Amino acid sequence: MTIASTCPTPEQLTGLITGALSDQDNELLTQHVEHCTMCQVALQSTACGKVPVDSLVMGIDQIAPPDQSNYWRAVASVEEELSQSGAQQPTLGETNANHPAQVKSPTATAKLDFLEPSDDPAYLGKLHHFQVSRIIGQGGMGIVLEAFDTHLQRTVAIKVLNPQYQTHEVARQRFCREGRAAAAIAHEHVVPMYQVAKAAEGEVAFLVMQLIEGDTLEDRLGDGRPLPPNEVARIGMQIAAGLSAAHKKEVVHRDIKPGNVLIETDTHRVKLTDFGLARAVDDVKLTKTGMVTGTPLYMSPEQALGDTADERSDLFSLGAVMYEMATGQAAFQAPSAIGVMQNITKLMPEPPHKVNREISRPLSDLIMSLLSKKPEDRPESASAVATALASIVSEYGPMSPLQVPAVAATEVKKISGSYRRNQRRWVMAAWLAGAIGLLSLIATPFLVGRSDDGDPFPSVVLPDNPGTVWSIDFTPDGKNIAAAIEDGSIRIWDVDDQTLLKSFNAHRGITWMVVYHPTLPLLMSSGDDGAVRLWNSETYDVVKEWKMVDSVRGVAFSPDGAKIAAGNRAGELRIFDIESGDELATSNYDAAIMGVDYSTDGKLVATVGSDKLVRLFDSTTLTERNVLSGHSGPIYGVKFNGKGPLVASVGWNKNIHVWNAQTGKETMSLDGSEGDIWGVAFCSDGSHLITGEQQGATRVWDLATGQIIATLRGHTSSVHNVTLDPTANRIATSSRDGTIRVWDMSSLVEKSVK
Amino acid sequence: MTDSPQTRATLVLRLRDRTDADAWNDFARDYGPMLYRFVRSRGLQDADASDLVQDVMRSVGMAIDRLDYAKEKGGFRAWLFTITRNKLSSFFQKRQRIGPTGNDTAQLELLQQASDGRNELEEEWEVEFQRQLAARAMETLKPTIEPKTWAAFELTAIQGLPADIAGEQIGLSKGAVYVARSRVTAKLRAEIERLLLENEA
Repeated sequence: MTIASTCPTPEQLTGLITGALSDQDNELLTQHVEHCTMCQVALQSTACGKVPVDSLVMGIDQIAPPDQSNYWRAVASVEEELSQSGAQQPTLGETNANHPAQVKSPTATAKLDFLEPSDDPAYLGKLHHFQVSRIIGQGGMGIVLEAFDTHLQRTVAIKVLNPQYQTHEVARQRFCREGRAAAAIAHEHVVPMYQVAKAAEGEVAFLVMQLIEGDTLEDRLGDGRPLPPNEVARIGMQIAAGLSAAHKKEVVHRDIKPGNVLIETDTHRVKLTDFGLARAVDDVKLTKTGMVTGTPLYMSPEQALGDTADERSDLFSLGAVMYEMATGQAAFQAPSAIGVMQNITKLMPEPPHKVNREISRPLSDLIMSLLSKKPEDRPESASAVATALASIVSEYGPMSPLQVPAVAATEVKKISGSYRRNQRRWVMAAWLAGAIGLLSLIATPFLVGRSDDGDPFPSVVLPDNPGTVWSIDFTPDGKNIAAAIEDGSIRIWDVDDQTLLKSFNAHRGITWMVVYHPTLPLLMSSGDDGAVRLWNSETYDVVKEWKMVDSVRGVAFSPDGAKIAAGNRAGELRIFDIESGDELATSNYDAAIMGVDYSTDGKLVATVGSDKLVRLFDSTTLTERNVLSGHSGPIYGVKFNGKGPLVASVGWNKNIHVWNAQTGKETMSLDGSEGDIWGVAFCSDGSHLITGEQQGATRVWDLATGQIIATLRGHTSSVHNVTLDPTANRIATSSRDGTIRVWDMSSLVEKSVK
Repeated sequence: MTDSPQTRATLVLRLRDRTDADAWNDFARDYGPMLYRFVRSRGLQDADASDLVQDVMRSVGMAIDRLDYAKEKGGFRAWLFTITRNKLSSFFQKRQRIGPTGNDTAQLELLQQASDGRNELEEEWEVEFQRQLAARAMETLKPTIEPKTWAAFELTAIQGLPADIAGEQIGLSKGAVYVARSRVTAKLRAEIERLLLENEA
C-alpha cells in the first residue's frame, strides 16, 4: 500500500469531507492527512468555510449557565411574572385591590401619546431629552415612567401629570409649583427631585426624580399581615424624619399613604415621594365634583371634612399608615369611601397593642396619639415623632450594624437639632434614651471590629447629590458648604440643618472646583468648560469670569485674596487680578494640571498633575523656582501648610509626599493608605495632614510621627476632596458616592490636648 | 428539542400572545444562555448578570407588542441587542455612581465600551448569537451522525483533545479523526448558515 506522498488538491479535500471519493482514495487521503500537518489544517479550514465553526464550538458543552447560577431562578421568576400578566391585562402599579374604598381610575392602561417617537426601538418614546423605557406605575395623579436622561446619562423616574388634568391650567400650574417646593427638600428620606419641567402652553408638565430601586410600603402590606414591631418603628421613624425636613420647608405632603412610601432595596431606607401633588388633583376634582377624593383610608379628619391640610394632617396620615403596619388592618376600613371618611371623623380604632400583642405599649400609644381627631392633640411636630420613635427603635435591639451608622448617625444629629428648638419634657426624655441607645449601637461595631473599620467619629451626611462631588469648601463662618458636582452644578448646604440651601448650574460639563474667598462674599468655581467664575455668594450672580482653553481643575486664591491662580488640562497656568480681571502672569508646560495652591506667604504657586512633578513657581512672574520629583504616577492634589515651609502632594498609588518648599527637599513620605489619594489638607495648626483615598477612607496623619492617628470610613466610593471647617474641629469629605460627610473631630482634639 | 427552530417572525408573534407559555420557554431557552454569557463577558458577576438578564427579558415581555419587525433593521436580534446594551449602560452608570468595589479604571473602561464601543460590543454579540445557533445546530445534527464520527468531533473540536489521543479513546486512526472532525464541521457549518439565513429572512 502506498501512501500518497503529494498533497491532495482542494477538490480532493472537499471530496474527502463530503464523502464523494472512492473507498480507496478515501483511505489513501486519510492516511496522508494522518501525517501531513498542512493538510490537517487545510481540511478543517475547508470544512469551516466562512463560519468560524472551530471557535464557536470550542467549549460549547458548557454553554449554559452553571447549575448553581442565580440565572435559573431569575429566568424562572420572570417567566412566571410574564405568564401571569398574560392571564389579565398587564397590571401597572397602584394595585389597591384589597382596599375596596380606593377610588380606581377606570382607564387601565396609560395613554402615552404625549411622547414623541424614539429613534431607539428599545424605548417607548421620548420626552424632551428623556428616553422613556417603561411605565413604572399609574395612578389618579399621573403616570410614573422610567427614563434615561440622555444629557446626564442616568436613569431617572418621570412623573407626568395625568393627561386628563393637563388641560386644566390651575392643576398644571399647581403641579409644577408643588414640584418646585418639593425640589427644595433635600433629605435622605425624601426622593430627590431633579427637575420640574416648565409647563408651557400645550406641553405636558412633568417632574424628574431619582429612580428608586425598591418596592412600596403598599407592596409590603399587601398580604394583610402586620410588620415586625421594630420595622413599624423604623419605617415610621424614617417617614417622620422625611416629613420633618419637608415641614421645615413649609411643604405639607397631604397624601401620606403606603403607596407613597418607597423602600429602597439595597439600603431598606424609606423614601417619601409625591409631596404636595395631591393638591393639584384636588383642584380639578373639587371644581368638578365639589368633593375631595384620593385615598381616604389615610386621610385626616380635617381633610375628610374638606378643611385645609397642614403639617399635623400629615402626622395623622402617618399614624394611619403606622396603624396598618402594626396591625395589618387599615384603621378606618369601610366598604365605601363615604364610610371610611365617617370612620375617620368619628371612630377611634382599637389600640394596636390590643390587636397585635407584639406591639409595645409606647409604640401603640404613640400611634394612637397621632390618630387624635383634633390636630392640637397630636404630637407637636414630625421631628418630635421621629425623636420618640428613635428611642423605640433602639429598644428593639439588634438592627443591622450596616444600617445603623448611615441612617442613625444622621438621625441622632437631626433629632438633637430639632430637640434644641423643642422644650417639651417627654421629648427630651425620649431623645436621651434614643440617642444613647443609637449611639451605643453605632459605637459597638467599631469597638469590636478591627481597628481599620474606621474610628467612631460622629458624622453628618449631606446625601443624594446628583453625581460625584469633586470638591467642597466651607464658608468662612463654617455654617455652609459649597459643593462642586459632576453634573455641572454647585450646591450650597446648611451643615447643621443638613438642608440644601441652593443648587444652580455653574458650568457646562463637570464643575471641578469650588473655593470661598478668604474675606469677601465670593465663591470661585472652575469647570470642564474652561471657565473660572467668581460668584457673589449671597446672590449667586456671576461677578467675574475668565475663559481658558481647556478644563480647569486647579484654582486657588492668593492668601491676601487679591489674585487667583488657575491651571488647566493643557498645562496653562495663569494669575488673574480679581478686581480688574487682568491677567498678571502666564506660564505653560506640557502636562495636565490637576491641582494648584498658593503658599501661605503668597510668594509661591505650586502645581501638580500628569507629569508626576510638583512645580513651584514665583507667584508674580510665574518663573519656575523648583521641580520636586518623587511621585511614581500622576499627582492629584497639592496643599501648602498654613504654617512653615511645608507643601504636601498626593496622587496615584498611595503616594503622599511632604516637601520643604524652600529647600526643595522631601521631608517625609507617608505610608499606610489604600489605592490612589485624591484629597489633601493640613489642619489649621499645621501639625496634621488629612488625606482622602480611592477606597473611601479619609485619614488623619500626625506629621510629627508620620503615623495615622484616625481613619474615617463611611463613604462607599473614592473620596475626592477633604477640607476643614475654619471655625471648628470638623473635617468635610466629598466623594464619588454623591455624598458629603462632615466629621466632628473634637474628641480627637481633646485627646491630643490631654 | 425536536421542533424546527423558530424563525424570528413566528417567535415574535408567539411572544405577543401572552397565553403562549411555550413561546417564553423557547425564548428563554434560545436566548437566555446567550444573554447570560454576553453579559458575563462584560465583566458582571453571576448575581448581577442574572438580574440583568431578568431585566432584559422583562423588557422584552413588556415591549414585544411594539416591535414592528417588518420595519426593524436587523430584526429581533438587533432589537434585543439594543435593549441589552441599554440595560448594561444603566448598570455601569449606576455602579459607577454607587461606588465600585474593585478597580475603578477598569470599570470605567467597561462603561465606555458599553456606551461607545458599539462595534466591539456588536461583534461580540454576533459571536454569541452564532454560538447559540451552533448549539442548536449541533442538537439537530447529532442524531443523524454515526456515533464514532460524532465522538471524534466532540473530543477534538469541543473538548480540545489532540487527534491521536481522541483516536485512541474511540478506536480510530489519527487521520480518520481529522476526517471525521472535518465532516461534522462541514455539516454544522451548513446548518449554521441555514439558521443564519433564516434569521436574516
